[in-house]
Amino acid sequence: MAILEVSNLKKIYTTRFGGNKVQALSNVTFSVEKGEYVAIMGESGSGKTTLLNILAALDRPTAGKVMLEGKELSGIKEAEMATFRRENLGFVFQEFNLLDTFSIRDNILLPLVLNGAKPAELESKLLPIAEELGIKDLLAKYPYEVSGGQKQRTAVARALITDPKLILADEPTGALDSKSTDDLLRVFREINAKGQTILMVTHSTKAASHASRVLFIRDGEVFHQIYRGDCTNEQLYQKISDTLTLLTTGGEQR
Amino acid sequence: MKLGLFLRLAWSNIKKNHQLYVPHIFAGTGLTGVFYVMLTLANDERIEKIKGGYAIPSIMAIGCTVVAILSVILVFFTNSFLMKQRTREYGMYNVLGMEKRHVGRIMFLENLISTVISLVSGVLFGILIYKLCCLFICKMLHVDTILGFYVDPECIVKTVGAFAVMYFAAFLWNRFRLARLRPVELLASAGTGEKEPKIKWILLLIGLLTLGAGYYIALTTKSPLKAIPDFFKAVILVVIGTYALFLAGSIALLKLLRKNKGFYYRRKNMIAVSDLLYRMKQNAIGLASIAILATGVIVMMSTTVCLYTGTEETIKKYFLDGDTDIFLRTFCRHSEETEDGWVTNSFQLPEETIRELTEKTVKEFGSEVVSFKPMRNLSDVFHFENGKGSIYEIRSSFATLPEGTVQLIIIPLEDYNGLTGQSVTLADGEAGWFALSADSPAITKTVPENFSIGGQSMRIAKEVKALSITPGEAYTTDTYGLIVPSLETLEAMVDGLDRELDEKYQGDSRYYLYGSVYYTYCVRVADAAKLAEVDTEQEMASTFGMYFRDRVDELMDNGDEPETDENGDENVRSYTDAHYFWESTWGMRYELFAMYGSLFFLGILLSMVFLFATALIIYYKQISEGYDDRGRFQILQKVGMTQKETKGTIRRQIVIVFFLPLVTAVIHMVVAYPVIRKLLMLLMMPNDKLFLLCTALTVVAFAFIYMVIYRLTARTYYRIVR
Repeated sequence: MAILEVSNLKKIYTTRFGGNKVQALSNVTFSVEKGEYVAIMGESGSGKTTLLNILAALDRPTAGKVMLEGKELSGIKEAEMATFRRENLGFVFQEFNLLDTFSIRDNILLPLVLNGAKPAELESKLLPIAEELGIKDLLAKYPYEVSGGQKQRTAVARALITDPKLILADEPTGALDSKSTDDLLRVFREINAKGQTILMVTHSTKAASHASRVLFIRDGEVFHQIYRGDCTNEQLYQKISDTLTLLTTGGEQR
Repeated sequence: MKLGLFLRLAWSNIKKNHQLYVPHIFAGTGLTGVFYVMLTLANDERIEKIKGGYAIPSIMAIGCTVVAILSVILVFFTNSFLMKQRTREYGMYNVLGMEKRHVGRIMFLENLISTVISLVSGVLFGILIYKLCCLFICKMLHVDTILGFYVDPECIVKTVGAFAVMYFAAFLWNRFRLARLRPVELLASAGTGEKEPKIKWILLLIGLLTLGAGYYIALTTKSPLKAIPDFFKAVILVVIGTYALFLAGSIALLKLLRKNKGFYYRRKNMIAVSDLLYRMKQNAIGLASIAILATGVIVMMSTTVCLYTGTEETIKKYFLDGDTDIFLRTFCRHSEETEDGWVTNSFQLPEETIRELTEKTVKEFGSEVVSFKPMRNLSDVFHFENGKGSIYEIRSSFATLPEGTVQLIIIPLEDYNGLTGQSVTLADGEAGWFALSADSPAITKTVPENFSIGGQSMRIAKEVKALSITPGEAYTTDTYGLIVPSLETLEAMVDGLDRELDEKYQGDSRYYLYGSVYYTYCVRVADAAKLAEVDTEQEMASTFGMYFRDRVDELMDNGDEPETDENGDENVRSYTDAHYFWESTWGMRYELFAMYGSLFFLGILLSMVFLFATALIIYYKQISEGYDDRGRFQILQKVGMTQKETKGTIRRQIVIVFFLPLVTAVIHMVVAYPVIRKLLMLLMMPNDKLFLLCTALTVVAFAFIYMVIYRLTARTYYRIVR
């Protein structure tokens, strides 16, 4: 069953005084199955971020539609949008976006509290996730006291705590060193193995090589996609790498 | 050429940072202007010559000091704020290849430009509003307007000098800080994560103790005479307490709230509590300062408004509740050389004589005496021990009176009946009493029922209807009127007291206190309003004095020729002093309006300066918080809050932070109210209701202005956050 269906998505930005029109997405169609781990790749300016913003309901498309579990995003009222996002989506950002006035514990709990969870159930939800992500000992610390990798794992924990239908990750490894990157990708694999659907936007081949499917975007369209099949990470890496070369040297869509 | 480049850079920096510099320069202009005005008022001879204006220079000198202190604090505050906001920019210059001395030079030029603008516009502003202030003062003092444009070059030089030194010191401080920073730090200083605030237990304890002690003193001051030293003690303690509690108490409270999981992990509370924790850490000093300034404004305005608007009432009450127009007291002293040395005796001219002289004086000024009643009295502070009352000698005007002291105004029955129109009777050895301040307990609290003064044994027999007298000297301990059966009793009391003092001091005449009952007469005239117009220069008093002295000389000479010694010099063996006190309602009106009017003026001016300081602190606070909040605002939205929710949380926090100082100020004022009321009694302001009204109105007005300031600055804040 497809958890996310994107069809004929189009986004045109109009500059402030109505002069220039920039087409960020021309025609994007794809779907994500439940339990899938999808990476979206593309160069800067290819429309990745625009796509992610529309999927996150932070932005609205010019045309086309996005269905999450059969529910159309554009049909949700502005007032309910935040609640919808909180309950259905989890976010992981490149620059972590942790609040430095909150301890690690409070950063993770924030979405639950915003959802109006009872104080008693907070701890029971927090502890397993923190343990899984290896940040149990850091809960009392503050973001400025921990490393980048730990911050990102905190952000993942924050995304997971509401049991979202879909995790949207925007360049999650972009600000991490290689060891932390490996750690994080392993974490993503583990939570994916437990059934969590993940959609990750990245331009890191390494990050993408952990996914079960890789979508390539160029000039606002889905240009190509690769299924993992039985490939190992290394084989997938090679495939992605080849595709990227093709993309940059200007191959035709097939 | 190089200087030109630096100048251009400095100028464009100021323009680029106008959001920071405009208020900074405004503050400088305002403070310089007000300082100049006060300094000039303190030195302007024309002001001193205003009727009753002799008090103005010294009052304005106090104002000058207050403005100077506040200026130092504000100049350093705005300066360090500017520095904090611009550290990154300076770091960028450093990174781009400028040496620190170059950055320092730009900094100096920036300071120079803003200082010159502030000082020039400040002095111009001062000169302009000086005229306005003079008009205002004249209006309030009910005197003719002083005309003409007035500029005092010496005051300009002093003002400019003082502020230039202040700004230069602030620059040196910045330069020092710049020298100690490393480029990386310069760049990073805006982005470092704030440490979690810790509870400072010692500071918290100090805050609780000082505030508690200050409040305790303010609330328990019984004797109004103690009110002055107590008030200052309490003020200092409360100021320390306010700062300490804003710094430590707020954080302790918020941390406790955070510990309470049931409270903390709620939608509305979680973000508010932890954000407030950081806000309080950054702004505690600023907020405490606002609370203090706000309290200052409320205290100043409520008291000065009350005194000023209550002037007529104070006068009315002083003059026996409007029953009399002139108080007149006379006495004579005759000194004579005898074989034992010089002996001095006091005596009085007969009532008829004084009356005759008064009528003559009043007639000369075009009115007539309607009634002339004696109010002979003895007024002093007494201390009772074993039923025996003795005079309590007050060494200094601000001394503390011990428990068991009481101020008594002792009046013979015939005068009391004459003044009140009653027909109270007292048997021999009986005394009647009435309280002179509304909240005094029964007289028997301090004066034993059977007591003696100056050897006269008396018994407190009954309470009688109060007569509105204000004691000559307002020692505002509990004050009572005491009625004794006859003038003879009163005279005997005075003689007895004199003998006691004589024994105590072995006849040392320096301690010679009485010698006589006060012979005070209450004169009512036919047309007081007309006399008030005719007698603007207080000539009536001296006219009476002249007649009085002439009459005394006539009496004493008795036609005898002075003896002469062998050289033909007059051999002075005796002389007579004639003393008189003449107080008229209109004379007092000039004096009080001058004093209360100039206090009121000072109150207004200082309140404006305080309000301005408050506005400045709030404005800078909003800006600095705006930049911090912008990041938080965006994250919260990404994590799943709507824009409306986010704005709601932030607004709620800002409102809390905003109202905290106001609420603190109001609480301070409520606690200070009883003490200030007692202080006003020292200044003869008897009307509690008026003071309550003035206080309430001041609080409301202040809250309103504060709200306006908040609204205006909040706009800047939202512009940054959005």
